[in-house]
Amino acid sequence: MDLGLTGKVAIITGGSDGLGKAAATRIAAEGGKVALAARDQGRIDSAIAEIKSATGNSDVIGISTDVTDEAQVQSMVDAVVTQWGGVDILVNNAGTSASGKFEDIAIETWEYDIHLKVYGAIYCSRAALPHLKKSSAGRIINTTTWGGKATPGGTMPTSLSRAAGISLTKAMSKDYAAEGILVNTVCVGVIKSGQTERIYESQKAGNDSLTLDEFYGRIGSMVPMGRVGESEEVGDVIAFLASERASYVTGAAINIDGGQSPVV
Amino acid sequence: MDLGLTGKVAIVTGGSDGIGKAAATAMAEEGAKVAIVSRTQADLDAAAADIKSETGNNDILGIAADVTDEAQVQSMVDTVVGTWGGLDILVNNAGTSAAGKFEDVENETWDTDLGIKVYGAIHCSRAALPHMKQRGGGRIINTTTPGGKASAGGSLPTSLSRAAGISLTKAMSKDYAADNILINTICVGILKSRQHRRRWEAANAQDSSLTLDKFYNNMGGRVPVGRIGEAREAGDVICFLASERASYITGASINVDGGSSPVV
Repeated sequence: MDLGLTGKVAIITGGSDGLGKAAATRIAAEGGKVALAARDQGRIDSAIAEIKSATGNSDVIGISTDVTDEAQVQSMVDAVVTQWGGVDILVNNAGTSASGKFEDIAIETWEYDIHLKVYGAIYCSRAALPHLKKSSAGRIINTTTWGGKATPGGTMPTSLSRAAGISLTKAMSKDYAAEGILVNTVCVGVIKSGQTERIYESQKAGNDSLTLDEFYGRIGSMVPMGRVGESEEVGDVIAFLASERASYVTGAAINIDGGQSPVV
Repeated sequence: MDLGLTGKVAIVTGGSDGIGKAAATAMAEEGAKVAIVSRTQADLDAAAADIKSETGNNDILGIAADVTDEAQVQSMVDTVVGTWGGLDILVNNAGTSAAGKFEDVENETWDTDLGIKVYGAIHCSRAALPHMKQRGGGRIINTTTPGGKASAGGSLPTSLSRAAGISLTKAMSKDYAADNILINTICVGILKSRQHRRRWEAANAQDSSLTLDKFYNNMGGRVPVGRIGEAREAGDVICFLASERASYITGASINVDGGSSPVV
């Protein structure tokens, strides 16, 4: 299937690892020009090298950016526009998932989570919009989770930030449809990534015999499909949403969760 | 992007026109073997000829069947499996959209609508499942509408049948995830199709100055993106969901509606 992504300029936040890197890899494989935004320059550099080598596409750059800092975000978008003349696709994927019971959550944890996931998406979208409006096929894809639609106990602050991300998606999809900018979200379940590997490492500290496969196997057994997801299984959907083939899809929230969500 | 559909066997009900024909065409382009199903053989023959000539793929069958008749459905599935040795993908797309205010809807209208859209999907899915289990996995995609999630006034019986279709999708996705049979729905807004052409013909009979383009433009004015959709814009999403690239998506609903739905 020709996705029509050749020459399209994409910014992916949280792009040096996991879902973001997988989305960047697929878009680069389809001939897009990809800018990775993340905080750690070392991880960015590794990701750039990996993507270039996996796809044969050398139009891959990385810009160290803290998305909670509006000035850094503006500077990052300006750098991409200077490099490639515009922006067609923004993937707001930067995020972590702090999770607990309401009274156990310190105000600092609330603020950090909301700043990273909600304000991060707001700052990046605001900076990208003037350029997306000039694009013939502007796209914003926000990474959220199914917990933002159907919130279990013990999941704050992350589920609140994800619900906010879903609302942002729907409202912005209404605001910018007439200007040709399509805004959607993928609501993910448990997907293999550097983040989940770091959770494994902290669990392994207390239980030396636990292998990564066993760790993923345990979580996977709670998923209807019986396994956790691979990053590519999200990255490819993000690339599809960014593509010409999804030209009538906006304001949608697609579960990519192996069947976990209780709701569509 | 390689969708991994080469050699896969697909059935599309309501496949002689509109979204069904577009989905069949997209999958045929990717090398699948496709059976299109509707009530009228002449329509199927014409559609099959179109698809073959457009895609260069001769593995296209047109099988007349009334999906409200369980025996006809079984016979249709048996024919597909007899021809191509198995079944991987079912697109439950047959349906019309009778819509009115509650008291104005007669029993016959209820029966017809539920018969085609709900029982039709039940009959086809029931006949398909054993073959998908035998193949170690499969895909079912149900066409529904955003009205099934957010029902407007004057929308019965169709919004009720669509809500039923969405529920069927979610419940079946839970039941068959462990069998690797992934079940999703696309919630379509207004797309060009024979259904709408017939409405235009009726309107044109009253006002001969109303061209088809003008008719479509008027409808499009109410959609956030400002236009109604092309059948391919839904067909391509169905094709993506049927593919290997959507391997962690089940129990999802994807709005393909140019932004119309009030909900994700």
